[in-house]
Amino acid sequence: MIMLQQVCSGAGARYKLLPFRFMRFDARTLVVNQGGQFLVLSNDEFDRYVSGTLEIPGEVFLDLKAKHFLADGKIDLPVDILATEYRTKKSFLRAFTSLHMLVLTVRCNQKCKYCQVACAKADARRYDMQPGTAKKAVELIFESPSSDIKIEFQGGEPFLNFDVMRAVVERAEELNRTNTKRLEFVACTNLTLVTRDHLKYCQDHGITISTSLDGPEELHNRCRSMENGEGSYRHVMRGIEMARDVLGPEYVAALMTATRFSLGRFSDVVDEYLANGFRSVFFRSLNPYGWAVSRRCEVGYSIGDFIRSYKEGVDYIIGLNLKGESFIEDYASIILARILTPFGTGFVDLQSPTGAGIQCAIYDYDGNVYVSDEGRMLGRRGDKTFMMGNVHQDDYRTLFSGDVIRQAVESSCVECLPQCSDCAFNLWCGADPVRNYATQGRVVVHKPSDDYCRKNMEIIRYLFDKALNGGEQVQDAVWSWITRRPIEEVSSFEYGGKQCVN
Amino acid sequence: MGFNTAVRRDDGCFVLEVDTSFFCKEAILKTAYQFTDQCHFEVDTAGEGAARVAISPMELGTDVQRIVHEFLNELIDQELRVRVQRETAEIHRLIVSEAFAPLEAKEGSR
Repeated sequence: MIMLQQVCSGAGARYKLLPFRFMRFDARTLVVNQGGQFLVLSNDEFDRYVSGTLEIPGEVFLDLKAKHFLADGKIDLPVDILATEYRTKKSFLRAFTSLHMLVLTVRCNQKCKYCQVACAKADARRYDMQPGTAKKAVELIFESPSSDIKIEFQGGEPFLNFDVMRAVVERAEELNRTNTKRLEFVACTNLTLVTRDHLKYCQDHGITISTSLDGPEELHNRCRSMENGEGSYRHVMRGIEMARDVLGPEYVAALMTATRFSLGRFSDVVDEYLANGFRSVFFRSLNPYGWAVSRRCEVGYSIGDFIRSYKEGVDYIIGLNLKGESFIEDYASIILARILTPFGTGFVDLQSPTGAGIQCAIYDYDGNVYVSDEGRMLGRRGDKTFMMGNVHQDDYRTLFSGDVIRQAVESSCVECLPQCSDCAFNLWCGADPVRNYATQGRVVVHKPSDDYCRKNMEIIRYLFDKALNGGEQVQDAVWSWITRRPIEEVSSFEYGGKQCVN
Repeated sequence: MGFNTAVRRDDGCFVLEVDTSFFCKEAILKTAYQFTDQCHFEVDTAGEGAARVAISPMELGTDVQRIVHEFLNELIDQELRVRVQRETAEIHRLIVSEAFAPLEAKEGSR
């Protein structure tokens, strides 16, 4: 047991402790410092480290010194290095809002059981964004200081309001002739009613496609049906094929949403994705919004069941990788990049402070602006807690420096949140005040009973263990995910990060 | 060296007396917080140099004895965290201010 009375180095100490967090990890102790460097020590090594009794210059002392967990001289250099590493991890803060989502309509021609938006019927045109609202939104978007602008068309089904999509694209391109930002467009579509003309337009204007595919036909059709109740799988597959043909395969991506029907079947989902030419999948759990909540009994599950399926799915993919098949689980690749590289990642749902508002914003069909898609989903139910304003009434500064965005940021720094502030994973994790509010009615949740915390803790621990203890071949698979290169290419190089887990 | 005592009451609750010369209030509260999904906690002073922590299960069948053991182990880690944070607080502040200092200010200070 640690000798607590000896923790402080104080006067006469042989070295200074530098800031770190720790966690007990499989009968050893994981230490992570402020720059995201980590080491796994035996409990005895850890005790000697914190009590100032390490052998100098022993191997553990030198490892800890090299990674800036301690300093035995001036601290200027380690402080400079840790500050640079910390700044790099938080680099997403520099750009400010770059992802702007436009809800072109809430109408949809599908009726998915877990719809988080609770879409309107396909003929309810009052839920369409009007051209004047779209124009205002685009002009606000271009006031963002970010040099990268991604405009994502959302719905409902955005191709039901194609004229306004075109108006947005053309106005954005016009504005960008003088702004010269890196401008991207994405259409989030179920692909069931796109035509070749739509796709030709997408090709001409660089609009990429993100669609939904929940797995094999019968699994996909369990929850994703057309308005008339017919399963949507065949329509989606026809749309994917056409989109690939017109745009090229690399411009068409798909997302899956896990329901109780897909638990234990993530390997089937992977096989379906592979059979259809996709090279990655995102095992996405249900979000606590819209019909996913009201139909929880029908489609929902416990977070423990999801985590179990997630691990089975990732294990299955690694098995395929080891047989030479290139395939990635996207959530894992995000987490692993955070753990094993110096860089942060742009994933909005898991940032500290939250990416809501400062990385992304969503403009609803009626011009209301929310900090995130999830904020908009609450708004659809009449709760405007996360509404920053309206494009017709508010200017950019009012929207993006108002109380709503400030509160979202202030309540989502894991460095200050109960339990998170002490967590060794906190540099790789994040907070989501909108989800917190949806699940527990407050922006700062009770962590011990928070499913989102449990999910991320278990997944990070599991992936960390893979990277650390999986052996060289699994580490090659892990690096192939991070670098998005074939495993045989990765295995022939000695990456700096590979060394850091050895 | 401080010590803790744990006594089981007739109603199934446990009452711990924690030596506050050894474990600070912050560590006791942080430890209790981690178990608040399983148990109710009452934290109070128990005279000079001691705190009383009463632990009662939220649901019948909860193994409170196990939670008491986990509580006592976790208390050591939390106390350690508090001490490390105190020890490194100034360096932590320096790192964060250096990381987010405007570039011009940094260049000017060199």
